[in-house]
Amino acid sequence: MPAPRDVLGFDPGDDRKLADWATIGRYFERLAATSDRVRLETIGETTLGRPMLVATVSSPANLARLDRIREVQRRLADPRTIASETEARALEAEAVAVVLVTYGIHSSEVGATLASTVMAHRLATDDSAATREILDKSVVLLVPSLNPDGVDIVKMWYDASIGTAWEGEQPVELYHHFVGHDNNRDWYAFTQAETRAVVDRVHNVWRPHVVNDVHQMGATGARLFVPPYLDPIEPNVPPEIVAGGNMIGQAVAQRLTNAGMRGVVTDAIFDAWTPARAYSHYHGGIRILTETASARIATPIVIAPERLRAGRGYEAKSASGNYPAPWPGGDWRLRDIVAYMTASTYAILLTSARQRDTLVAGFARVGREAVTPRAGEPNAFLIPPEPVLFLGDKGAAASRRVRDSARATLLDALVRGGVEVRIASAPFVVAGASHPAGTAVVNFHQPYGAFAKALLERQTYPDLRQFEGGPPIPPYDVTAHTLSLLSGFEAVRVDAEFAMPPGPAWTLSGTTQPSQAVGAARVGLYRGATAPMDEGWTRWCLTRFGVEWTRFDDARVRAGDLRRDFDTIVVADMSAAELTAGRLANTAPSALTGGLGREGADALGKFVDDGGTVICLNGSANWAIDALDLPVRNVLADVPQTTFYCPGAIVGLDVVDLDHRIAAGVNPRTIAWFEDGPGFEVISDKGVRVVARFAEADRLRVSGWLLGAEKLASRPAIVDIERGRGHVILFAFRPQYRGQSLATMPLFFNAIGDRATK
Amino acid sequence: MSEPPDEGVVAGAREDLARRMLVAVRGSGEDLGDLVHDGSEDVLRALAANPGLDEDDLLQLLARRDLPVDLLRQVATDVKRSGSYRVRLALLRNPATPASVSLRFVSQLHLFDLVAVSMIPAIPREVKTAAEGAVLAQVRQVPLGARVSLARRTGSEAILLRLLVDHEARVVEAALANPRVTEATVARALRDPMAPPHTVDQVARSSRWSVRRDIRIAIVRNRHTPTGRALQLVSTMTRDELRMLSRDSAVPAQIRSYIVATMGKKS
Ligand SMILES: [Zn+2]
Repeated sequence: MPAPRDVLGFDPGDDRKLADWATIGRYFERLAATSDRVRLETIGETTLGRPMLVATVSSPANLARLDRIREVQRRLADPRTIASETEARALEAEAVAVVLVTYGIHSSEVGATLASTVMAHRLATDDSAATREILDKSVVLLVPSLNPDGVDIVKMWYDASIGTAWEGEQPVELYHHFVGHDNNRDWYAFTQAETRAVVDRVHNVWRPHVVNDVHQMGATGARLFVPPYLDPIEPNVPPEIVAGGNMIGQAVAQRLTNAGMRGVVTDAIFDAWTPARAYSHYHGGIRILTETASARIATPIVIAPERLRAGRGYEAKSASGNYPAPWPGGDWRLRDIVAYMTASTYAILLTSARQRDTLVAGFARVGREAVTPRAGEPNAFLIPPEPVLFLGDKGAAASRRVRDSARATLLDALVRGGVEVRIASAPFVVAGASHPAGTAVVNFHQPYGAFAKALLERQTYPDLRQFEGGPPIPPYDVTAHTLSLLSGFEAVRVDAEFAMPPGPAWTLSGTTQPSQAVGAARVGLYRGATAPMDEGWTRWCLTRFGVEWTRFDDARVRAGDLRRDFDTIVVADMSAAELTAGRLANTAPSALTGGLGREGADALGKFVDDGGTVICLNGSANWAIDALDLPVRNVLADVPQTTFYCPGAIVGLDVVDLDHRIAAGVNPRTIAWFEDGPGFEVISDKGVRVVARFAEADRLRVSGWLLGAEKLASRPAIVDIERGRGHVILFAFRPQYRGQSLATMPLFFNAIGDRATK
Repeated sequence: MSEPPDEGVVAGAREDLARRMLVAVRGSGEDLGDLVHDGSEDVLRALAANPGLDEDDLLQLLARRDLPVDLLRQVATDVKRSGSYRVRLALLRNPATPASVSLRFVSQLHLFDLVAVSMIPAIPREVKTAAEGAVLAQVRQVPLGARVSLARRTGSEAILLRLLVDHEARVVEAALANPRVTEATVARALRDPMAPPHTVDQVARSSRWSVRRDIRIAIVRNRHTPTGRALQLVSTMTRDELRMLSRDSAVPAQIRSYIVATMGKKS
């Protein structure tokens, strides 16, 4: 039986040693070829065309009846397929624990993919009673990397760094071609190939009881995080899943502590609010996030005790109920990372096997509850055939493409998430209101009704403060996920009973293919030296809707004459400091460090004066105000969080200059994704057109968390400012947020404009 | 010396030819099928003109590579015959069919037949070009699986160039594995501004392609190439290659600055 070192050429965890994806794949192939406990399957392709793999590990007896095991899972997940109580009990008795372990979605967290080989080898070769129990009572699914492209991107970068001043620094580029670290914010919109492959071919096929998602976190606190999660828990996550996660997490913490592994923290740092990271929470599965402290990629570090810092919910220097055995500091290397990862995953597998009965009972109950109507629950959600937030068919060619694909994009997301959607074939009436043919009807009482509800309702985030009246406790991620609104649709919740209208089921339309180019203006996309994710999302949106782009870097800016190559330059969401200073010295070869500086600002100013258009999104507007000397200011710049706070929410937006080309095809009353954006005040009206404003205070918060609405209310949200012969267009929000906010993407594409209009 | 043919044998042969002609003109059913392999062009002409010849037999006839051109032309102009897709295809596949005849049918062929036609060595150049053009025009509407097979099979550079920049990685993978693809074609695909990132990445990962000089240069020039990859490639390049890349405006500006810095160190 091959050990990892036989194929990799080193032991996983050796200092400064990483494996490329082809080698990882070869290891799993050789293991599957020699072990009767391991099967390997290709489940799709990555963005850059690498194979995505899943290894199925179990006893030979279980491997011989995988179809039946999947069938039992499918039926327990959907009690509508179970005829009687007796049959339900028989299915529960027959089920094995299904545990999915996903490694390495964040490719610079390099321990994970290496640890997958160690775990696979251990399960394939170990004959201890504990491992036999795992194999007999469960099916273990190992996904060695959720982002194989990144395995190679990071290895190439890291290998080039060894022995230099910048050894172990983060790559200068996104480790997912389009979205970098945000690849783990895609588990309900499914915009990326990797997400789709894993949802379609693993989650939806196996419906695992437990999902262990293996990550790394910062280096200066706890060594390992396991659930329980911090509050808030998103209200559509079933309590059985929350309770199950608490149980498994605590069991892991206990096992590692018993084994003398210090520094395990629970109830800290990570909350469970967003479905963007937690597909399984809405699909019957317990998500066990494990986060191990990092080194410098594969280079060891030393953390002096005084550098240990407090994190959300614990203090790293002292013991507490949720951090009983503090890590004292000292050496920390890849070997430690792999060891903590392997120990924690093994503990999850063993606990799941031993708790098979309770896990299966909880899983079955989640399914039963989902299809059983209860007082106070919705009966259905209705999605109208036309997106209310778009108007007519005006606007740039790419904007029209957005509008034309919005409905399919939204309904595809629901259906990919296992939601049954019917399209009414004739008009129908609910509680006196009539709905046209083509309305999409989502019955809430179906297995994954809660997933649909989470995406179709508005979120109310709890008002969490550090102390009463004090600053807000920041969420781990953003606070809203109403995909219907982001897609341009207002879903209607129906509580009344009504006869569901007949009509065909919606099936996946596959609208995510890139399209042919639309002939937009010559677009230059500024590539920040810090590899900002929003640049990646912008590039994805441009590509998705067929707008040709050219990416350029600081050195190109400094070379001048940008007007020769571009009509429009897009600067994605970055802070002013990030844009100006860029990447710090000694964190990359010197040619790749630095930022725009004064010289870059002047070059972009000249581009505008020469008739070009610069579009700045969200944070980069703050840079433009100073760097391009614009007659606006950000009134939120110095406002404390107790006065105004919005860490990512959907707000009301009023398009006010309907004659402006940016406004074409958009409902004057729409929404926008606001996330730590600026609040503009126009200092001088000359040459300034306010295209859109945030809604008045009482209409401002639409979904998610917003404190101090009056600070942002009615403030300009899109301004078009003349400078020289050109324009600067500032967006105070993220019009292409994570590829999801189709409702505002036309504003962005209209700002870019078609070639003909230039 | 061989004996002169016996009078009776000659007469018998003539009689036989007359009998076969009679069958070819008047006959029907299985009798006609027997004549598909006949050695006489006159018999074959008569056979092809006989409305009683069933289509399968006609197709067998058209598969012959020794048919007179006028026979092929005659079948093509017989609307009852050339109305059939299979007959039009058989005509196109026959290298002896004149280009003027074939070209009329090219646009009506299904994609896979077009591909097959474009790969027949002996068919006229202009027919081959037309078939390739028709394939290219359709390629966007072709389902994924069919594009993959096309990528594996086609011998046309124009088609390969298009498939090397296909938006599905599987198609690109198949095209890169096509034995007819050349270094020049791959390097050209990498220079296509529409080349998707997976094309660049797959070429860079391929042991067949990543060692070729022109291709390594094309990878460094490409906007999708990960920086780590570019740095590695640069570290293996000669001074002449570096000097060339440092002056090439297609290379991302920061990589060019890096190359200039590297050259400074090397000297
Ligand atoms: Zn992570």
